[in-house]
Amino acid sequence: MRVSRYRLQGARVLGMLCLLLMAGVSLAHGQGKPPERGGTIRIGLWQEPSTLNPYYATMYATNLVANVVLEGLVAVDPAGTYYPVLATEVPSVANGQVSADGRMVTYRLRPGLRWSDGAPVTSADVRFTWEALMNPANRVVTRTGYDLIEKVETPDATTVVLRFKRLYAPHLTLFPYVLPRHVLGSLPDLNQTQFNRLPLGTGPFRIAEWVSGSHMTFERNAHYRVSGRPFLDRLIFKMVPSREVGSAQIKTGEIDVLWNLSEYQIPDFERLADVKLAITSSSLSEKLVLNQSAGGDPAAPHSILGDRRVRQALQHAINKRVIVEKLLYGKAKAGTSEVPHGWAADPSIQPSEFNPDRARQLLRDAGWQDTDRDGVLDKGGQPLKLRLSTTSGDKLRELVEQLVQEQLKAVGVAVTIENVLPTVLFGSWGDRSPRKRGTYDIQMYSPGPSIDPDAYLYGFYHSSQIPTEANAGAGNNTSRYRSAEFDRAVEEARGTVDLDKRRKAYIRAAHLLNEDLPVIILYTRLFVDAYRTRVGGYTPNPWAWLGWDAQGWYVAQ
Amino acid sequence: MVLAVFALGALFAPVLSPYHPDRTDVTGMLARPSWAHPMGTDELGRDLLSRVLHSGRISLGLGLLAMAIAVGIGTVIGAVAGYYGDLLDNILMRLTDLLLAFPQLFLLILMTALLGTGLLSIALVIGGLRWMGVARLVRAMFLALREREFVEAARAAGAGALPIVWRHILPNAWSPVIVAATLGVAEAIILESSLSFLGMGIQPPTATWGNMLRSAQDQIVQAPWTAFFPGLMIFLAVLSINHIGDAARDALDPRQGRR
Amino acid sequence: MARYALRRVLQAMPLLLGITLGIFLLIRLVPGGPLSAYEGNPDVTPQDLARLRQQLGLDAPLPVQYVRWLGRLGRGDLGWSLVSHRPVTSMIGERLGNTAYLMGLALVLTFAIALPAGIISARRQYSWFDHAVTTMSFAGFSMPTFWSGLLAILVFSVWLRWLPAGGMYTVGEAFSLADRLRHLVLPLGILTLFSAARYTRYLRASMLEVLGQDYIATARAKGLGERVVIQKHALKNATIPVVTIVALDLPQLFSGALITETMFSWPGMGRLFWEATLRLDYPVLMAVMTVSAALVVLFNLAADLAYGFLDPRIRYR
Repeated sequence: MRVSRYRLQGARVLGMLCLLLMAGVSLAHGQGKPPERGGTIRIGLWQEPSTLNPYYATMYATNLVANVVLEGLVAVDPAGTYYPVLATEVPSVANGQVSADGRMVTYRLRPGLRWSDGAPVTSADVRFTWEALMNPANRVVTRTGYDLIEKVETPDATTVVLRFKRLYAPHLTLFPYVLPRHVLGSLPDLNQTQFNRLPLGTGPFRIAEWVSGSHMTFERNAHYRVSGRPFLDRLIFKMVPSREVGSAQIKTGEIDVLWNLSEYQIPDFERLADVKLAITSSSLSEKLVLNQSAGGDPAAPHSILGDRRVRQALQHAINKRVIVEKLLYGKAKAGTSEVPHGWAADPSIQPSEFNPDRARQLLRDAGWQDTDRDGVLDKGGQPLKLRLSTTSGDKLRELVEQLVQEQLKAVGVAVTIENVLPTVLFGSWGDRSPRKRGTYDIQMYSPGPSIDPDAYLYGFYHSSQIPTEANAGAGNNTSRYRSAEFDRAVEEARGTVDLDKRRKAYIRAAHLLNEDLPVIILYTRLFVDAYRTRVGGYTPNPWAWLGWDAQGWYVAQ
Repeated sequence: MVLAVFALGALFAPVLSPYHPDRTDVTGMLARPSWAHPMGTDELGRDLLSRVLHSGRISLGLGLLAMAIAVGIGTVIGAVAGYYGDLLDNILMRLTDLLLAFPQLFLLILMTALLGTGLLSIALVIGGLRWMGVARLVRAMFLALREREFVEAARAAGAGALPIVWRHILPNAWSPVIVAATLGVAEAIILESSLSFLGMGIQPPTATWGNMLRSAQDQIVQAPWTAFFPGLMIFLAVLSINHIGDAARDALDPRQGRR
Repeated sequence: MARYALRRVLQAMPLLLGITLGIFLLIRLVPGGPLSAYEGNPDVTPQDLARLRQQLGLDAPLPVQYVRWLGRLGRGDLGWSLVSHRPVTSMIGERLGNTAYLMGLALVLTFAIALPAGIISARRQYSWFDHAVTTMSFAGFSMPTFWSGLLAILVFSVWLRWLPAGGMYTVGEAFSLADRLRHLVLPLGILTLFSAARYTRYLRASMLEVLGQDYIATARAKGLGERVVIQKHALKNATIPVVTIVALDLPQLFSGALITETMFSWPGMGRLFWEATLRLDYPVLMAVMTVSAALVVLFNLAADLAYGFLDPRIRYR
C-alpha cells in the first residue's frame, strides 16, 4: 500500500513536533542546561523583622532576610558540616589554621571580594565587625565569644588572625555576618543607623527598598563573587498577616515561597500539584520543663517533681506518638534527646515508651495513692496537682497542653493550665517571673541548641546557671537541675577543640538528661516550607535560614 | 424572646450538652455537622454544640458580672458627684474624664496582661472600664433630681444624706441606668469576645465564644462551621440584648418623641 | 467664650500629665519587658542581658525613667523603639497615614449612609423603610467585627475569589486605583457596617426627638415647606448631640480599629500597638497611648466648644 504524500509529511511534522516537545520538556527540567537568568520570586513572611541587622535581633525573620544580603566567614550546610563562604577554607587544627591550644584562629579571605557598592572586602572589615560588637555603645544582643577575643590581627588585606584569651570551643560560630567598615566605620554607634534598615553586604542580593508593613524588594548584586549568579533579578519579601493568609496566597500564586508552615496545614498542601513541601528536621523541641525545686531553692526538692520516679512516670504517661500523629499530622518526631540531630547527636536514642501502667506503678512506688477516691492521686494529704503554663495565643501549644492534660489525668495526675503572654512567661527575676524564681511546676516551650550545643546545654543545665537571689536571677537553668556528672561532661566538651572528644562528651550529657529527666521532650519539630513548582534550586537547610542558597534559585518554567 | 432561650440554654448547659465540652476525641477532629454532632467538632474533636452551650454560660455570666461591677462603681461615683457637687464633683469628674481618655481596647489589653486571664479578672477589667458611662448618667440624674421639691422637703425634715439618696433620688434615677446596664451587658460580651479573640481573654480549654473563634481562624477554610456557630451565638445574644435594651428605653423614657 | 476655652485648655494640661503618668505606670506594671524575647534564648547570656538593660536605660529607677521620657516628649522626641531601635516618630509616621486613610474613608462612608438613613427613617417612622433600616442597624452593631470579618474573608476571598484577603495593595506591581479599591472593599465594608449602624440609630433617635418638638410644629404651622423645615430647623438641632459622639470617635482616626487591621493585615496604628504590646516595646506603647489620649481630650474640648457654637441655648460663663 502506498503511503500518501500527505500522510508522510504529516508524520514528519508530527515527528518534529515530538522532538520539539521533548526538547522543550528537557529544557524545562533543566537537564544539563544552566537555569535561565531572570525572574522574580516572592517570599511570604508572616513576621516582619524589627531590624535587618542580625546582631541586633534574634528573630528568625531578621536572619532570614539578612542572609540574602550579608555573608560571613563560614556557614553550615544541610548535612551539618561547615563550609567556607567569604573565607577560602574552614580553619581547623588539621590545616594549621587553628593552633593546638585553640587560642589562635586564622582565616584567609577569598581574593577579589567586593561589597555590593563595589568597594573591596578586606580583613579590616572583619576586625571592624569585632570592634562594633565590642563597642560598649552598641546594643548588640550578644557578645558571647567575641568578648573572649583579645585582638584581631590583620597582617594583610586577606588574612585575619583571631587571638583568644582562652580556648573557645564554638569559635566557628563567630562572624556569621561581616559588616562593612567603609560604611559604618565612622559612626560612633550602630544603634540607629540606616544600615539596620537597608544593609549593605556581600550577598547575592542587595536591598532596594523596605516599605514597612508591606514588603521588601531585593535586586541582584552585580558584584557578587560567583559570576553568573544569582540567577534571579529580584527577590521580594512580602508581609502576610498570618500563615493562613500566606497559604491562601501561595495557592493563588501571589507568593511563591512560604516559610515555616504550621503542621496542620500540611495535609492541605500535600494535595496540591503546583506547590511542593520541603521538610527538614530542626533542633527545636517542644518540651515540658519540670521544676525540681520547691520555690526556686535547689536544695529543697519540689514536693511532687523532686522525685525522679514521678518525672519518669509523667513521661511514661504521655503518648508522644499520638501528639505527633494527631496534632502535628505526623510531621514531627517524637522527642528523643536534647541534642536531636547534628554532629553532636546520638542517633540511636529512641523516644520514651508510652506505658501508663508503668507510670502508675512508678507513682505508687513513689508513695502516691488515691486515698480519697477522687481520681487524683495524693500523698500525705497533698493531691498530685500540677500547674502547666506556656505562651498564650499559640493554638498548637494550647492543643498539646490539653492532650497532655488528658493523658496525665488518666493516671491520676491533675493538671491545670495557666497560660500567659510570652513576655510574661519569659519575664526577668525582677518581674518575679515564675520561670526565673522557680515558683512554677511545669512550663512548656521550645528552646534548643544551635549547631554548637555548648551554649544551650551549659546555659540551661549546668549547676552554675541556676537563677538565684545572689546572682540577680541570671542563668537559664530554670529547672534547677544539679548533676556533678553532667557538669563534668559539659565542661569537658567546652574545654577542647577536638570535635570527636566533644561529641562523645555531649552524647554522655544527653544520656544523663534522659535519665534524670529535668525535662520531658515531647516532640522535635520539623521545618516545613512550601514553595511553588516555579521555584527552582531551593534546598532546605535546618542549620541556616531560608534563602541561604538564594544565589542558586531560579525560575523553573 | 430569643434571650430567654439563651438564658435557659446557658443555665441548663450541663444537662443539655450531649457531650462533655472538654472531652477530646482525636479520631473525629473537625468533623462536619451531623446528627451525632449537630454543630460539628473542633480541632481536638470536641463537640461544638456542647462547647457553644457552655461558653454561653461563661460569656453571659461574665457579661452580667462585668455590668454589675460597672453599674456598682458607676452609681456610687455618679451619685456622690451628683449629690455633693462642687469640689467633689469636680474631682470625680476629672477622674472620670481621665479614664475615658484612654483608648479602650488598648487599656483592656494592658490590664489583662497585668491582672491575668481568670474570669474574675476579666470581669473586673471590663467593668472597670465601663463604669464611667454609668457614672455620668447617674450624676446627670442626681444633679437634676437634687433640686426637686421632694428632696428639699426631705432635707428640711432633717433627713441625712444617705436616706434621702436611698429612698427618694435613687428610685427615680434608675431608669436610664437600667437601659445603660442592659446595653452594657451586650458591650461586655463583645469586649470579652474581642479579648479572647486576640488571645488575651479566658484561656482554653475553657470555651468562650471568643476563643473558639480564635481557634477557628486557622481552620476557616477547612471547617467553616467552627467559626460560624460561635460567632452566630455572639451575634444573636448581643442582638437580643440590644433589642431588650431598646425596648426598655422606649418603655421607661417617656420623653421619646412620638408623632 | 474665649475665656472659657482658655480655661478649659489650661485644665487639660494637668489632665494630660496625669494620663501620661497613668499609662507609664500601667505599662511598667505588666510583667516582662522588651528584653523578655531574649530570656530563654541560649545564645544570650545573663551578662548580655544585664548589659542590654543598662544600655537601654531600663535599669534606672522608675521615676527617673519617667522624667527622662517626659523631657524627651517636651522636645518633641517620642523616643526610640527598644525592639527595632528606630525612632518611634517614623514608625508612627509610616502607619498613621494608612490608618487615617482607612478610618477617614469609613467615617465619610458612614455618614453618607447614616445621615439619609437616619433622617428618612425618622420622618417615616414605622414605615417599612424604617423597619428595614432598624433591623439592619441592629444587626450591624450587634455583629462582632471579627466574626463578620472572618466570614467576609471566607466568602469573598476564599470561596468566590473576588477580593484579596488582606493588605493595602498587591506588592511588586505598579500603583493601580482598581487594585487599591479591591483591597479596600472588605476592611472598609466591615468597619462601615458597624459604625453606620450605630450612627443611623443615633441620628434617627435624635431626629425623632427634634421632630417632636414644638418649634417644628410651629414651623409647619407657619406653612413652610417640609424640606425647609427639615433642613433649616430639624437637621441642625438633631446633629448636635451626634457631634459629641463623633468627637469621641474621631480619635479613632489615630488608633484605628485594632481587630480589623489585624485581620486584614492593614499596616496601621492598631497593629502597631498590638505588636508593641506583644513585645512590651515601652516607647512605642507610651507614644501611641499618649497621643490617643491627647487626641481624645482635644476632641472632647473641641466638641464642647462646638456645642456652644451650634446650640444657641447654651452659653458659657
